[in-house]
Amino acid sequence: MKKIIASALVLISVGFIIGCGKSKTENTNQASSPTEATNNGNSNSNPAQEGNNGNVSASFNRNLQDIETLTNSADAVGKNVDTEYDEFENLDTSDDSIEI
Amino acid sequence: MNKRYGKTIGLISLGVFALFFSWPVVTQAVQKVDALNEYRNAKTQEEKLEKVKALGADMIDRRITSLEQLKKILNQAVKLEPTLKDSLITRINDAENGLNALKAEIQAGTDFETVREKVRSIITSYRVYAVFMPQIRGLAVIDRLRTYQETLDSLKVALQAKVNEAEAASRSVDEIQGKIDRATTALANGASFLATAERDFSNMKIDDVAAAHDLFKNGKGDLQNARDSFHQAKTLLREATNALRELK
Repeated sequence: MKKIIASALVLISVGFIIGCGKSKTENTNQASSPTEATNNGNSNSNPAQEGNNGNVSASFNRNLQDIETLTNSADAVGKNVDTEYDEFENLDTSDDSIEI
Repeated sequence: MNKRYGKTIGLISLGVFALFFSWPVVTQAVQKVDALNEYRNAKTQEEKLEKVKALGADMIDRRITSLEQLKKILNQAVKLEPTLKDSLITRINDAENGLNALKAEIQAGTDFETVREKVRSIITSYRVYAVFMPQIRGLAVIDRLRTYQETLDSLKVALQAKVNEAEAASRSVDEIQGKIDRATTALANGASFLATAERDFSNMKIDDVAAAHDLFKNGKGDLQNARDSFHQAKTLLREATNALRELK
């Protein structure tokens, strides 16, 4: 009798262990499906939109080198303008005003 | 002791250096005053004739030098209308030829009053300093301002492209766009002032000094406004660039 009970307990334990293992595998399989996992995780999310946002962020190039070059060029030309204007403003025209 | 000598030598070197570069201007100014004073202080008719001839030659030489400089300035100008440039260069060449012929007439003159009238005509018939010089120097400023305007336009276009890129990436660019828009307005204002200034300077004529003076005055005001507008545009574009760099 004791042997029968012990055998039954062993079978139940093995069955339980096998059952648990199967359940874990099923869960793992469920989670391995990206679409389902995403849908399960957040029903409002849109994977395509997320992807687009990621791409646009990456394409915003912060390199302003060409703008810096043009700004420096504008500074230099602006200084030329000031020099030319100062010379223009300080012209000595008195030679045409002398009395002879 | 050595330090004191060093300082003295330094100051002397600086003085020599400054004198070296300002020498042509100094000598020309001294010559101008000398020739005029010698003529004014002449006592006899003979001496007056001799001195007025010397004064005339000196005045013509200075004007030829100035006209050559103006020609060089015009040749360096790349943004002026070619027809306007050509007509001004022709006028300069004509003035140089006329002045050289007048110089020969003055040197050959024997009557003081006649020679004096010819020397006076160096001023009244040519107006090199009263009209020619301010006109061409004003046009030279316009030429530089056009280059400035074009550079700022290119900067604005490049900046706008960057801002559009940032906006497409969902960044808030309202403040930057506002600065670019204000810069665009400033550039348009500057261009308008520049067009008016060019018209004024182009219309200055030596045979109407009073009108030329008014045109010069107006043109100068427009040049000042154009320069201020472009400087303002540059400041705004610089601020926009800085804001773009700080964009999160």
